[in-house]
Amino acid sequence: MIHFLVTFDAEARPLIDHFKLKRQHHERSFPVYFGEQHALIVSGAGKIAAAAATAHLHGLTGFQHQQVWINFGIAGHSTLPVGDTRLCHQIIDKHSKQVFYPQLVIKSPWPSERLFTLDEPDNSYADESLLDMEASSFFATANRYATAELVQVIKVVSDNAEAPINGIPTKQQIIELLAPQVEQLHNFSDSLQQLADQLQPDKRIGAAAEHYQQKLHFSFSQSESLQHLLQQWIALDAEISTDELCRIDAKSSRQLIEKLQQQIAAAGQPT
Amino acid sequence: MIPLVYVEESVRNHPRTESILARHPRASVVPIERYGSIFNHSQQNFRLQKQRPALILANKHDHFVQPAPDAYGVGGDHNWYFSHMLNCLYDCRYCFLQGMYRSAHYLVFINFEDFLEDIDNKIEPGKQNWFFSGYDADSLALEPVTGFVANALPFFASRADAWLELRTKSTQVRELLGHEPLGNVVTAFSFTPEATWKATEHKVPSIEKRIQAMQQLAEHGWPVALRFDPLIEQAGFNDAYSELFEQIFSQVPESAIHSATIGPLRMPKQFHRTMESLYPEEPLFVSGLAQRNSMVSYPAAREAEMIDWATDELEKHLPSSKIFPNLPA
Repeated sequence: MIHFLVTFDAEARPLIDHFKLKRQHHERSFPVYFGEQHALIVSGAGKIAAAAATAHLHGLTGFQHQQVWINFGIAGHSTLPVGDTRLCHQIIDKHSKQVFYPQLVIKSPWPSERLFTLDEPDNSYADESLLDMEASSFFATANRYATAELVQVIKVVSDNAEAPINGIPTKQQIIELLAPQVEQLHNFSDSLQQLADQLQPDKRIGAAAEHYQQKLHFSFSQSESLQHLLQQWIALDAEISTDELCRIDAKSSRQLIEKLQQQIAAAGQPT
Repeated sequence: MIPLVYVEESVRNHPRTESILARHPRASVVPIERYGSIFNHSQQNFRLQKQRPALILANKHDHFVQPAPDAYGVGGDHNWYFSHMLNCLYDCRYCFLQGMYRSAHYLVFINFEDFLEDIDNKIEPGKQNWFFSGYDADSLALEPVTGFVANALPFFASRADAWLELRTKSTQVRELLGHEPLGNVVTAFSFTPEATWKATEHKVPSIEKRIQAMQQLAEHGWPVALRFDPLIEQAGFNDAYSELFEQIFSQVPESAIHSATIGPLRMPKQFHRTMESLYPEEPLFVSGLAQRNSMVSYPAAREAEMIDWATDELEKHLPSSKIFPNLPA
């Protein structure tokens, strides 16, 4: 699942249209949209809202770990032209001085840049960096659920020292800034999803474990052992079917684990 | 290509930093306060980072040179190791670095002079003092980036009692070939048989290319060495290692070989657990390994058998005085 967090409704619109997301009308805390492989939440402005929305979306999508998280939206910058897009390599919370490092391990269509997250708007453009009001708390929260390689912040410049912000840009201005980036964002997020897929457990493990757990009682540690042993069996026989993993006959969970250990020991010997 | 370089502010203006950055003009440069804010930080994934590592340039403050582990040695009086770099260009599935670090980024400590000064302090005159450099990284693979060897050679040229081992799986020997050979700088090449290389040593140059690099060094008068450490279990173990030894010794003269070491596959159980969770699909972590005390290895009897057999087999090619089986206690 790819999770998007945006600040404003207008930032959501190009994503809703592109990914054909559907509004979850029963959700009252934040506007939330779901597609088959994508989820989007509109946080509203500020760090607290961004952290709360990130946590909320994590719950709504089933508290799954090692999923993709992307904060996409507009930001200020002292010198970059309006419309330029950047991937953030360093996020500094201006108030707390905390520094976060999204890990950039796939090729990006955009150059990378530092970002400062501010507590309130600042028209001074003193730093040669992107400026927003959400990314630090988004990253800090999402990085609890996913490794730093899967949590990314992408910003489109909406204002700079020559074209300073005078209130929030209009909905139409935001849509026009973000929409041209959505196709590349789609490709980028798919690449992140491929990374995330590498961290997901083999589906055969869950299916076989469930099969045995329906027949026998397992303590928590036995359940952990069962999954570990099934994983080891698959490592030794990559083509093994779920049916084959489920074929061991045992009268108790303890006996099953012993039999699995014997099976793996035998399979692990060089032939 | 290195896409991103993190640079500690304390070394930002170091000439070596400037030189490295000049050679990576397209990389994004990110200033950082201390390398610890990136390297080994929690909530990172070694497996994912390994797919596109960044470079970190930092300053090391202490513990430049450390006593080598007991099993490390090729007959010297004193054995030390140092790590001017952490992590490796290659991706060997059995490598303990995967279990030790959460980061796969290449961390280079650019204050080489401090390492050399500490080496100088450790040398006991009249003794054979060994300094092993390939413990936490491949000694040569990133030489075009780091330039460490280029700095170290003049130092060792004037210190006859100090011996340097450059341990490598690379073919990056250009720097050495451009320098007068030094009898006290030994380039030690690590090998496993073809099937293990293909299955587990990702991005490592082929056996044949490494043998060619050995040949080149030997022809220029540099001492070379062989490292069969770790020995990896496989189907047809004996035949596979016999073939490997034949392949090497048919091309590199025994007289050019300083030493050969043989060592077992061993890792702390926590490292093994981490490595297995990073690569659950990897059969290497399951095949024949067993836990003994706090270590994971092949069963003791099999481990001893592998080392004894490999030692005997190597003696067909090398005098026993050049063979160092390393079986840790």
